[in-house]
Amino acid sequence: MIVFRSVDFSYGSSPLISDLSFTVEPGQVLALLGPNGSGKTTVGRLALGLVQPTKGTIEVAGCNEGTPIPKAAVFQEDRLVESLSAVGNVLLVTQNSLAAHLPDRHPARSRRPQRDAVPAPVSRNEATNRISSLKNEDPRDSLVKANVTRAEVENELIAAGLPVEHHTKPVSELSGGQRRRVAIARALAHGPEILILDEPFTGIDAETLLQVRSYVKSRITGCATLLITHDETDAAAFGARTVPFGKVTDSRGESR
Amino acid sequence: MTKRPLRVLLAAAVWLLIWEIAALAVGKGFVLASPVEVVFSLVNLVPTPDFWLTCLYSLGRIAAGFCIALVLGVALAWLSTLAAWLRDFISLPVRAISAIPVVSFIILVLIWADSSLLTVTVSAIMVLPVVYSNVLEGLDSLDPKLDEMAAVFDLPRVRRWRAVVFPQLYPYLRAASRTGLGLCWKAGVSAEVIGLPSGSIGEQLYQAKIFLDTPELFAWTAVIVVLSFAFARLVLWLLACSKKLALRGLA
Repeated sequence: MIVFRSVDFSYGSSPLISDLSFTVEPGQVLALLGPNGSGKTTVGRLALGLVQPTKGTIEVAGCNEGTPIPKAAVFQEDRLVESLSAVGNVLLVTQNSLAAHLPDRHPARSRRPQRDAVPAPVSRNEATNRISSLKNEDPRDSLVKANVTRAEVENELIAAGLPVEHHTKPVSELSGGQRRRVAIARALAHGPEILILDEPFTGIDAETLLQVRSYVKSRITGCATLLITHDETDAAAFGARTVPFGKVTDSRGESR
Repeated sequence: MTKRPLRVLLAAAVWLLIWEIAALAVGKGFVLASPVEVVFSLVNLVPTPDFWLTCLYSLGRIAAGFCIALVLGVALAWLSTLAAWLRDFISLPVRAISAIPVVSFIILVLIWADSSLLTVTVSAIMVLPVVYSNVLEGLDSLDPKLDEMAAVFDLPRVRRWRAVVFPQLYPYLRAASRTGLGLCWKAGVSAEVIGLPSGSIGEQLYQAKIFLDTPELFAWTAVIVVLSFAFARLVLWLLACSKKLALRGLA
């Protein structure tokens, strides 16, 4: 759950956000709609705890009191580790991730893809490539012995619309849209309870957009999600409360 | 054989021919030794145990100096990122070291310490500023957005260093090593020629000079070039391995 209470924020002496209040319950999507420079991204940064409000309070609570809250974000820039592959970027945040330590019936865990739940058909060549890459895995590898397997990560990437042949390439060799899909898969594979999606579909071509949107929708059922966008169709696709930024309502739809 | 190695081989052959002709023209082996004389000198040197002990002495000390500079340079660069006053405090002497002539250090070490410490100390001192400035530049240019990403996804500290920080620092470490490796051999052997630590390559070069044994002087120079090249390859290979190790399972 994300709760903003009368939050002000300013960069130096210039105020950017003033008296902002809203609540996002688990399973809800709140879309902040507004033009560039209106402070939407800053709201996301505030929710993630990357910056502190100058006034007011922000409460970010998880399902299990007293345990760390699994948070994830699709940043406006991809923020991928360039020297890693697509699989590596996802593995980086999923090994020993907070959600992996949660009970089996926890919503953040139940969103994890299953080993046999490959949503797209895989060609013979692709299957061979995947098997050989799995065979090459060193079982002693300290970064791969954790809870999310490479196969599960590959399923996540396939579901995000990234073809198998791009899974093991360094992300620096991927196109903007492909990198975006890796960033989305990374955030969702982390099993977050708090999810910030900042212009998540920028650069994704129209053909893949529907698949990626439905993938994201299927994975965020238990998350308190903040969708930051300037595109009303994104908000509509998620059935989100569509709130022009600056006139944000709380979870009951009351204006503040 | 591809075209480039063939061209390089041909160029080397032509230069050796020019050298041979020049040596024949001079006609005095103690002024300019011919390539054939140098090869004979090497053939005489290599089978002796003393040759290998001498190589090992200088290689060991120069390698130790390089490793000390690498560790110290990285540590000082990291300390410099902690506070502005600390950066100024550390940068000043490091900049001074890079401006001071190597000979001054050699003399100071000979005054203050034993000549057996000379090679290690001088190699380390000459490489330290290179490592420090390169690594500091790398630390300054670390992407703060990736750091935020790591914080949001709650990456453990060790994994952050291995997978996020180290790959960004790697090109700077590699550049520092490439420059530092050449420098430590030049400085180290120069120090040995002046300080004459017993059993070093520098001592052998000095002996060759005293006895006007130019073929042996050339032979030892060739040995230095080979050792320096091999050591550089080894260090760069180890660095590449360390990157692979850091990203193991994620690449």
